[in-house]
Amino acid sequence: MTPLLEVVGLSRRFPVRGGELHALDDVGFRLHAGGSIGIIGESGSGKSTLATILARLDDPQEGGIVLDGARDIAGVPARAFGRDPARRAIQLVFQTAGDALNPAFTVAQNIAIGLGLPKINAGVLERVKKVATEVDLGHDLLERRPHQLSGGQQARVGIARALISEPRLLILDEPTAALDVSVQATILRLIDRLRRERGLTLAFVSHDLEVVRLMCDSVLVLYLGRVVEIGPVSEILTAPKHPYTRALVDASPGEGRGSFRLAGDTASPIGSVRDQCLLSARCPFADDRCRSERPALRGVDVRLAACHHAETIAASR
Amino acid sequence: MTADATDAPARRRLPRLRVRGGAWSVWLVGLFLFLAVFGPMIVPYDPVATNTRVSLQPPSWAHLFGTDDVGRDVFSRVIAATRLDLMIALGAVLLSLGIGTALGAAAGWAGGWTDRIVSRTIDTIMGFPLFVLAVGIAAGLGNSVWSVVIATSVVNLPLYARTTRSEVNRRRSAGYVQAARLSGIGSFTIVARHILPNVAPILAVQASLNIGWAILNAAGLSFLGLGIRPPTPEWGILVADGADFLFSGEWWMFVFPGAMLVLAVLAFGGFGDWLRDRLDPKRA
Amino acid sequence: MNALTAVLDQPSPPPDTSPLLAVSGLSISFGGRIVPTVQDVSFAIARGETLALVGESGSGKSIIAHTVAGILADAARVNATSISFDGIELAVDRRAVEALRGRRIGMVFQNARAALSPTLAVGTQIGDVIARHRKLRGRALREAAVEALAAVRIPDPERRAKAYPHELSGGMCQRVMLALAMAGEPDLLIADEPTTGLDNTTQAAILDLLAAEAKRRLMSTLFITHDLGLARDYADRVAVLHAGQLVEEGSALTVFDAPRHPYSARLVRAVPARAATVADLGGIPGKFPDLSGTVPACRFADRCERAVERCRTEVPRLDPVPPDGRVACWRPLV
Repeated sequence: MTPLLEVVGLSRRFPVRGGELHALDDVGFRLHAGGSIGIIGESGSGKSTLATILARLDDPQEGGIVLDGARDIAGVPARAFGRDPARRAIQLVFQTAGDALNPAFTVAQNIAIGLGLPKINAGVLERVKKVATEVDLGHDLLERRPHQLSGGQQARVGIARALISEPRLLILDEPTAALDVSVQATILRLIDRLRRERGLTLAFVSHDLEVVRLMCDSVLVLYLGRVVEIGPVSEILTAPKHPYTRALVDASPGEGRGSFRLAGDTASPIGSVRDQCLLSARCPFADDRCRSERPALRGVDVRLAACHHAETIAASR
Repeated sequence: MTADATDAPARRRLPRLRVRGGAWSVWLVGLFLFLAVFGPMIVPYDPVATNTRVSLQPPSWAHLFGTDDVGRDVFSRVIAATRLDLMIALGAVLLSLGIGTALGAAAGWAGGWTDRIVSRTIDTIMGFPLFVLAVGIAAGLGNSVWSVVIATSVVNLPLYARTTRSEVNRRRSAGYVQAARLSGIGSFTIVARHILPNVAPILAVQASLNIGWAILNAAGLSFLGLGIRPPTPEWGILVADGADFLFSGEWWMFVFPGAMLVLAVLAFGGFGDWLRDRLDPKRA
Repeated sequence: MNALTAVLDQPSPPPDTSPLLAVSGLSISFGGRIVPTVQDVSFAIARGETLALVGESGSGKSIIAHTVAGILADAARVNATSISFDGIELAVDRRAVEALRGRRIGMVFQNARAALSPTLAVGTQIGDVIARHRKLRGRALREAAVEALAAVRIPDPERRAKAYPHELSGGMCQRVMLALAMAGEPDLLIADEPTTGLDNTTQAAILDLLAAEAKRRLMSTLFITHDLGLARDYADRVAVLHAGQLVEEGSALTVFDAPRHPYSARLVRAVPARAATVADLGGIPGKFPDLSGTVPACRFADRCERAVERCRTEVPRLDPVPPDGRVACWRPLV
């Protein structure tokens, strides 16, 4: 079966003082139609950069994004992608905070932007109303301004805007990070319902493992721009093989919360530390090999993990 | 806890020290606009007709603001000057608003070389003392209304270009702008239709605050004998003429046009303030 | 050292079982509003205990914390039967808390970087606070500041003491703020959403640290959060607030596993960690009550499927729930 999306060797570097920041370093994954992948990482992991590149708002320096096994859309520059026939297939839902919606436009206009027309005629209004109903947004709100809406309603507007152009792949960039837990619950249920009703394929960017566990069937864990572990959600979140994933799992609140912690904070390396495991400075399992050889992403049971000691770590739990 | 930490949530509003723009400024601006349109029709005397028999008369019921050295009615001249002064100020502000916004938007959106060129140009203009620059431009362009308009608008350009640049730049990566790009909307449309409407209130406030300054600038140029020539009634010229007679006791030739000028500057300043409160989108 | 040994050798006095902080009948109103934003809230924190105040945004949890800390804006009208801190009455004289804050009452809140002075090295800021409590100067003071940073597990504290807030990550800034709060050796720490906006691993590290410090120093903590899941993990007891009304109080595990108030039950259902599938998740139906208008007696009534007429006309009594909880509901869950 041809995957809907196949991402290969994606790299994105940003020039910074003193060298280059590897925001994404050789990132790849496959996503089948109707599937959903969680992209997990903390601040600085490159997860938002990945989301913007997948949505083709930004260009990678290297790598391919193959849609339907047919076309590599990574080659089309982001500037020109607006006119590309594949444009409508991919949409992005932004984090609900501050400037996700245009304060100068009404809710209806904000949704209509998804069609590329902030002008509302009868036909557009019909489609706006239809998608508003779909996301449980009352039609009486359509003439309001975004700031008059609650956080949950704003999130619905953002989702409606993305859905109005009937995309097949929906990328969600932390859509509920700014919301209260109780509002998050309703929005997650909404996204899940829309996914089933529309047969959407999801790429769900989040820093919250529990959200990814509920929303996705596979998960990709990013650390400082590199994939450290990727595979089925059920395997990775219950039995992580990479120490970073394990630290994430143990830090996640809940009944089975563990006590494994990493030392220090995430610090982006710039320049000459490429030939090592980027976690080596914080990892209790690190040895000389970790500090001198970059671990390759390799198969460990049904998943891929980038750790020299994946087997030892699995056994130590 | 430190002072910083404990003070933060209890931060109180400081008393405002400036004049609050209120309805009074709206009425005054309305009055000035009325005078600009109908002034020449309602004045009691021809503002340029001389009558040496009544020269240098102090204010009276016949001549509310007195008469000047060649017997022209100061009241009529002050009122008639409103149209020209407002036209110059509005023209200059609109010109600098238009060009400044376009330049600033291009620089703020495109970044890179466009930004560097625009920013350096703006910095160059800012490098001069503004009024001296205006004097230089007006002198170079010769004596016409246009030279005053252009000189005033050039020195105002940085205000609009800088504001627009930073406001556009700040919104460049906003979610709603990215969403518009996702829908295949072109750069020009995004800037013009999606970003600028959010910047417009800020610019409108600046423009109305700036009109008062532009009036003062234009009057200053004519005061120095640049741009507009006598006997055309213009506040700067009237003040300059009146200044010659101030010390010989004929104060009215100086005081009334001067007061009019101050009133106009205050009115538009207050109006800008009032507009700022009104246009805050979060208050709608 | 002899004096100290003598103290240690004495038989320990009976443990003080009176609560460290007891708030009763607290109401807070803001001008122009008909109904009080916080209505008749009572709770107590025992010595060494962590109490979580849990609720959605608008529930009044932060306002209550600010009232206890005495940093509420002047516009608010505070009415309370009693706010008693270790026997000191704070409700009568609002200035009484000034003497306690920074010494016996410490505070940390979200966005620590904004709460630190951007123009001073963090070591200097901590030193300033330490100097207020202990007679230290010069090198000894600098060393004490480095020690304080080490105590909140900041790696390489000597170097970090010279850093400015903008050079530190959000997690590090929060640790610095915690060190500042700890410098006064408080008996009560008010933690107002201290980890909002931080990564999960950082959140866990900060909250672990908070819990460890609280345990080590027998410090009480008032922990403000909107996440009942976090409250369950880190608090001994929780008090659930809805629109300014205390709806349920009890031990964290009991409230989480067997909530008695329909609102608490809804909050529990919203916690992702507790749900097996997305279908198990539940939000809270209806609209948050508009406190600028009139509201039903139980402010949750309009959102509650169990509501009866009485809920709209009579404010529910706080009834005891075995073993040690309380619930304010006319038709509690069983």
